[in-house]
Amino acid sequence: MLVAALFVFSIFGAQLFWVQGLNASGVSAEALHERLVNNQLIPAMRGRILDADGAVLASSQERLTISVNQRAVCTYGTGKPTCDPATSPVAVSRAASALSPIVKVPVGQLVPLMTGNLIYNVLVKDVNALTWRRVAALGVPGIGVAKDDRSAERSYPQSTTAASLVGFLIDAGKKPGGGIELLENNALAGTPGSETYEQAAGGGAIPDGHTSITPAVPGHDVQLTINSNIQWYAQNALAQEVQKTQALSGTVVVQDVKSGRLLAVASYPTFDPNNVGTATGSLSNTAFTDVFEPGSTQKVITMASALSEGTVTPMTPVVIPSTMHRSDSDFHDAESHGTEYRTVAGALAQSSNMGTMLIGETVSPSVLYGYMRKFGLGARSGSQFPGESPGLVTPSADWNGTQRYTVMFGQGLSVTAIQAAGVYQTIANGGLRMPPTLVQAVADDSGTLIPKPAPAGVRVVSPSVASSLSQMLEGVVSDQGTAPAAQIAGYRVAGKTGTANRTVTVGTGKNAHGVYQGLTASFIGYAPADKPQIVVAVILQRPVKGNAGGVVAAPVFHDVMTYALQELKIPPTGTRAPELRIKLDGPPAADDPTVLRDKQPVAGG
Amino acid sequence: MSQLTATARVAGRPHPQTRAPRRGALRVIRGTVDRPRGGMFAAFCLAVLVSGFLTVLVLNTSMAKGAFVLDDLQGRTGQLADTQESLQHDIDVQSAPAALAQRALRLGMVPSSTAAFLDLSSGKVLGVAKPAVKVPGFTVITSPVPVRPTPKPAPVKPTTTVVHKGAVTTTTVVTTKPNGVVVTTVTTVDAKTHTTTTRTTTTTPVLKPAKPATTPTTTRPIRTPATTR
Repeated sequence: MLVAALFVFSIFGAQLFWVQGLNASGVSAEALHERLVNNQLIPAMRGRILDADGAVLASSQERLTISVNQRAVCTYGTGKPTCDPATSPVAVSRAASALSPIVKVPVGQLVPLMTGNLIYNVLVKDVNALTWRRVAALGVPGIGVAKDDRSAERSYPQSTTAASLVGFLIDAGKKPGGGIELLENNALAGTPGSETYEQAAGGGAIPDGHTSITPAVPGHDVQLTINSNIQWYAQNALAQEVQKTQALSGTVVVQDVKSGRLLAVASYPTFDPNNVGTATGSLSNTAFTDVFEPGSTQKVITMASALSEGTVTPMTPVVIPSTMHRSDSDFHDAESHGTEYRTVAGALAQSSNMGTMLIGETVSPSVLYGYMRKFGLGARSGSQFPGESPGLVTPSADWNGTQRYTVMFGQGLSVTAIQAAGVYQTIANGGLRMPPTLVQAVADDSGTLIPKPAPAGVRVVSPSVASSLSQMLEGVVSDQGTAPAAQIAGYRVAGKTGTANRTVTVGTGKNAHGVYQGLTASFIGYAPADKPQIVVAVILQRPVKGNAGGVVAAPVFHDVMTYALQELKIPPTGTRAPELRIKLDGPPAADDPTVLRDKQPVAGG
Repeated sequence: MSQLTATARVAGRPHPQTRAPRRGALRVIRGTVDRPRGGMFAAFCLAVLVSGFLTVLVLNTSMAKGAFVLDDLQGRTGQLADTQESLQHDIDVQSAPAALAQRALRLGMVPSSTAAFLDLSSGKVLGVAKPAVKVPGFTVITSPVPVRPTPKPAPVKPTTTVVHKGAVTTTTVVTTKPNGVVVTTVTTVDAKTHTTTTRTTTTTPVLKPAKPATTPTTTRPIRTPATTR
């Protein structure tokens, strides 16, 4: 008996010696390993995207997936450590009833998810942290948030308003898909953290247990130059006009004249960034990505070149024939007319193609090309917006015979809406082009918004030339011009209509070629004309009901500009527009050398 | 006992010079064990031990309590932060310009059509101040793409066109189903050759904005001098 007892105790002793003496560290490490919850992911909150006034355009919230351990939930309220088939259905039903009002899922849907033998089964997805806290407070066994079931959800409170600018996220919110989300991803994306702690049997952390936390580093906020009120107004006005005219698409650009900051960049059709998967419209902002032949809005560049080079003045007489032959083509104006006697200002006010050609001929192709490039055409604007197009401006050496003339009135070259708006910003700003900016400030580690340095301006034309052009552009908006619809009561407005042939690519592969199909209607202008503050460009692609820029685009310009002037509290200057002589009294003297006239004989006659 | 032995030993080791003359008779004395002092010491040790245990217990309890309080407070902080975040999100959605415009429209408000300012120093009105009038057709567009007006319920009744061309009779039956699918059946009967051909085509509706093929404007080669205004 004694021997047997001693034997048994000696075995215990040996085991004790083994566990406590020889293998102590191994066993304790194993125990710790079992208690440790490793690398519980702490999602990094993505930085917010704010408008110029701090309104939230995009923000992130923590989202969790609540899961259930079906072998544990059936002990709820039974007071037993294991499930009993007799009481399980009642326990599950009680647990489901407790959860249902918090997670807002009917009991009938929860019960099947909670019944069974699975250790992990997803119960509710995408609940916010507050909801999970309330669920956790119930203390239902087996209900938890598993490792990797924490994520950050992006939400866009303004939905479609600024969607095309702000962009969206793809891959379950992990990767930027476009817009500012992509452009400023380095600033916006944070670094996820991780947490390792010792877990008690109940699932909570052991208070003085081993814990190590690598905190998540949240992303930095990005502030845009956009005014979300103007952005909404422009987007809404554009959407209404696109629907009314049955246009294919449209863009509105609102820019601050002095700084070049973009106040609104509307693009329609667009998408709902909260629901990108179902989007059928354009996922990009077409003001940056789409190019089109600008048409008559381009005529100001021709005028600016000739005025800058001193070959014409606004009052230079122009004799505009009914038709003109250049290269291998006959040119004429949109509306046929007999010989007209106009001033240079008049040729612009009435948007005469042939008048513009006569003026443009006074400068060499390379000089004209040089002005186009200085006005910002043929190069990306510097906004670095994802997918931005540089447009297409062929160097003057490669212009064919007709193109030499068509580029003067905006055909045979392509621009983006941002570039087109930039031309008018330049004239409004006394000839100094300010590259457009979209991001105003990026937050540093402490959350303080640090302004981005302003880009340097580019001198394109002299202030006096810009002033002359501005007066000529006021003529366009006069009752004698092409866009009286752009007039704003009480304000002086300058601008230009454009109604251009629209190129589309037809055919595929080798057969792909461009054809003119439909029109591009536009109006670009600024106000107040004598103290310019805001530029608004409206471009509609292929409108069906109505097509002239002065008819379909100018009213949108009027509405957006009126709203922007109120929003930015810009009062009228109270001055009157100077009366510019547009028409000549009669045919000028045949031997007057200053008169611009078609000196080339018309072919065949 | 050792004390006793030691005492005895000391006592039994007289100094050879000084004490020898007074040496008396040796007697056995009873050793005294200091029982009361030993009891005190044990009680003291026990007290120290117990108070030590109690201190550890109190410390542990307060640590655990501290952990619980900390946990509660962290939970409260987190809950308040989450509540704040949730409410802020609601505010962001409610204060979006489109949401405000929709509510304004429902209240019967209209967009202002003119811009006017009051110069407080001179009392002059800058701009044109006119009462805003309701612009027919002004709406708040929430759809990201143009919503084509829903066509009236498509006639399920097929439309039949019969064309006689010489001996050939062509019957075209067009049936538009409610889901927009158009089934066109063209039956050609040639009286001379007595042949009958039937061709049925089914077209599903294109929901995207009109494609270039349906554009009503003419197509011209790109080299033609363009018309612009």
